[in-house]
Order: sequence, then C-alpha cells, then structure tokens
Amino acid sequence: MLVYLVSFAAILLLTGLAWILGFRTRPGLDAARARSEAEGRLAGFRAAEIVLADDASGAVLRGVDGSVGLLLPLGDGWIARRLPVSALSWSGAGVTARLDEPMLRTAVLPLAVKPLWLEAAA
Amino acid sequence: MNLPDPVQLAIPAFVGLILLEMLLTRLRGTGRYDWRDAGASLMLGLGSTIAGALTAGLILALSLWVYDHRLFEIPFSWWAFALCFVLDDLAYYVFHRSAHRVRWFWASHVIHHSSQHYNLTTALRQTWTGFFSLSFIFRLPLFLIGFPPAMVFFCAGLNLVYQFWIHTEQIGRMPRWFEAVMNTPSHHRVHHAVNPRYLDRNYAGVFIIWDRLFGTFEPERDDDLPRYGIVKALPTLNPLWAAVHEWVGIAKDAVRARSPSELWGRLFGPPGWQPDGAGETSETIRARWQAATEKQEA
Ligand SMILES: [Zn+2]
Ligand SMILES: [Zn+2]
Repeated sequence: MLVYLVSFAAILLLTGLAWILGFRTRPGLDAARARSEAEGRLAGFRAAEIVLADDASGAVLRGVDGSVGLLLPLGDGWIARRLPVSALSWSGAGVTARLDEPMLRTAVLPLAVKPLWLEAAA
Repeated sequence: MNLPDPVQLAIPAFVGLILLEMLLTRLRGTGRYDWRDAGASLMLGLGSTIAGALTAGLILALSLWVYDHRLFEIPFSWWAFALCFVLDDLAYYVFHRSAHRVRWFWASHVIHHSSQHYNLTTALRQTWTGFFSLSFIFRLPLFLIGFPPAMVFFCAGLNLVYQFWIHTEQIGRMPRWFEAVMNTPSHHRVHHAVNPRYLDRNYAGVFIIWDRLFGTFEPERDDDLPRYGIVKALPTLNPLWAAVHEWVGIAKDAVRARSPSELWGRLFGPPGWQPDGAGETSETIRARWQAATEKQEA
C-alpha cells in the first residue's frame, strides 16, 4: 500500500514539475507545420489547400485527391483525421466536422471566412 | 529462492531519470514533454502495477502448475539465469509481435502506444488489461521447459527495467556494436512511430537480434523522423479512455459482426482489419504511402 502512495506522490511531483518547467503550451500552427503534420500523419495524403483556424489551434486541409485532412488541438500538439468532404458543414462560427467517434462526435474549427473550395463542395 | 522485484527497486531511478530528462528537454530543446500527457502516462503506470498485483496470484498459480509438468530440471545457476534471460526475451518478442498483429492482444498493448510523445514517462504507460487479454500465455513455455517461476519473473522484471531507458529522444545513436545487438532508443523510436515505413517494426525487448533474425527490423532514418503514437490518435488525454478504448471498439464491432468469419477477423485479425479488405491495417497504410510516394517521384 505504501509503495502506491509514494508512487502517487511522485506522480504529482513529476507532473507538477513538468507544468512548472513550462511544458504546457502548444506552438501556434502555421501553414508549413499544418502540411507536415497532416501529410506526416495521414498516409498518402497530399495537401492542396490549407486553411488555418482563426485561433491557429487547428487546420482544415483539402487534399489533391479531394479528401479532407483535419488537424485538431490536443495537449501540446494536434490529432489528424482524414474525412470525405461530405463530413464537413458550415455554420457562422466555422466549419463543423462529423467524426462519429466515441469521444469525438463532432469538432468545430473557428473560421471567419468560408473557404471557396468548401463552398463548392457543400 | 527469494529474488527481489527489479521493477520496484528501480522506481527511484525512474523518477530521477525522468527529472533529468525533463531538464535536458528544456535546456537542449530536443524531445517533447506535455504535463497532461506525462501525468496520464504516469497514472497509467501506477494503474498497471495495481492491476498486475491483483492478478499476480493467479498467474503465479498457473505458472507453478505448468512448472510441475516441466521437461527438465534446471538449477539456480548463473548459466540458467543467462539462458532464462535470453529465452524470456525471445518470448517477449513473440508476445510483442502478436500484440501488434492480433487485435485481441493489441487492445491491451495499445495503451503503451497511445501517447503522441516519446519520453521516459511513455515507458511507464503500461497496460491495465494484460491479464484479461491472456498475454501471460507467452511465458508459459519457459515454465514447461523447466525454468523456475521465480527465475523467470526476475528475468522478466529485468527485461522491463531495461526497456525503460530506451524511451527517450535525448540519446541519438549508441556505438555501432551496441546498436547491432541491443535494443536502443533509436530502434525503439522506430517501434513507436506511425510513419508508414516504421509501422509494425522492431518488436525487440532487450536484444534487437530477434528483429534482424525474423525480418521485422527497420533502422531509424534521419530523413524520416519518427512521429509517435497510433494511426488514429486518441482525441483525449484521459488515461481511463486510453486504458479501455480498444476494448470498447472490439465489443461494438463484435456485436455488429454479420458472420462468424467477420467476428473472427474483428477479434483476432490485425488491428484495423475490416471485411473485404476495406480496413486500415499497417499493410494497406504502407501500400498507400508507397503508391503516393512513387506518384510524387514520377
Ligand atoms: Zn509495441
Ligand atoms: Zn515502448
């Protein structure tokens, strides 16, 4: 029992130290990084157009094959998903992606301006 | 014979080395840490030791039962320990390869790969459901041969402790002779990477020779830097979800299966398998990447 309590204390200490050392920020996303993240994580995906979210937290990318790459913020990085264009919809706040995953039903990327290619697709 | 538990003895060193790695990450700018990810990894490690302690009695009983039917009488001598360590590492290779190629075992092992980070805390991100997935069966042949359970568990503990230090980006390459024989940070970075070239490679525990022997070795390349995690990264840092998500996926797919062969594939096929080849296995991912690369080069 004692070993678990000590371990738990060590976990709090190390996690707290990570926080104090500043491991709690996410670098801003720019187009080059969005491309490398999406192409590096989605096998065979090649980005033709890249639209960054207004708060630079994520991006939506149109692939040369017409599919969509999506980068969503998680911790100090992003997660990548590949979707058909039909899974995207537009609202005033930005683009909404229907992912239908247990912990990720939908995701919203804030965008002030609707990208032209999304206009054509929807 | 009473042998100590190497993992428990190593815990203070784990803590000290994690501290050192954090400082190096800050000072050198290589490697990555996120406090939430690190916290989740450490909590998964603690949960894993608790889950292990709860089932240790059952595994010991089974091990002793198999040992009772042993083929050879193996003494507690130095050569027996050495042989046991090498054969246990081979058993680990078989276990680990199965853990990546059979979804049932993957559902338990995926926890270890569920972070997009690669640092010493990732080493402690260990399964909670190893017993449920029956991963202990891979060690049973050792008891049948005649290695005493205490010796096997000691070697298995040493094996796990060895694998701790290789989970780092602070070490580039070790000397060539070392990289040739031993599992190293460089080899294991490949194992944790989702780059199509690296998927399902370098299953080794301590000795990389098993991968070289059985054709699953892939060297790390400077022009293809590893991206860590799983093909479909988890959308949350919640450790509970990391521990159970693939089991939830298996249960859903099993209920929906329309034929016995589909059910079999969903449970025991490779991760990502779907009927009619529609799935995303490491083979299809690698093929898609190869096709895209060739197209770009043409
Ligand atoms: Zn693995
Ligand atoms: Zn590992």
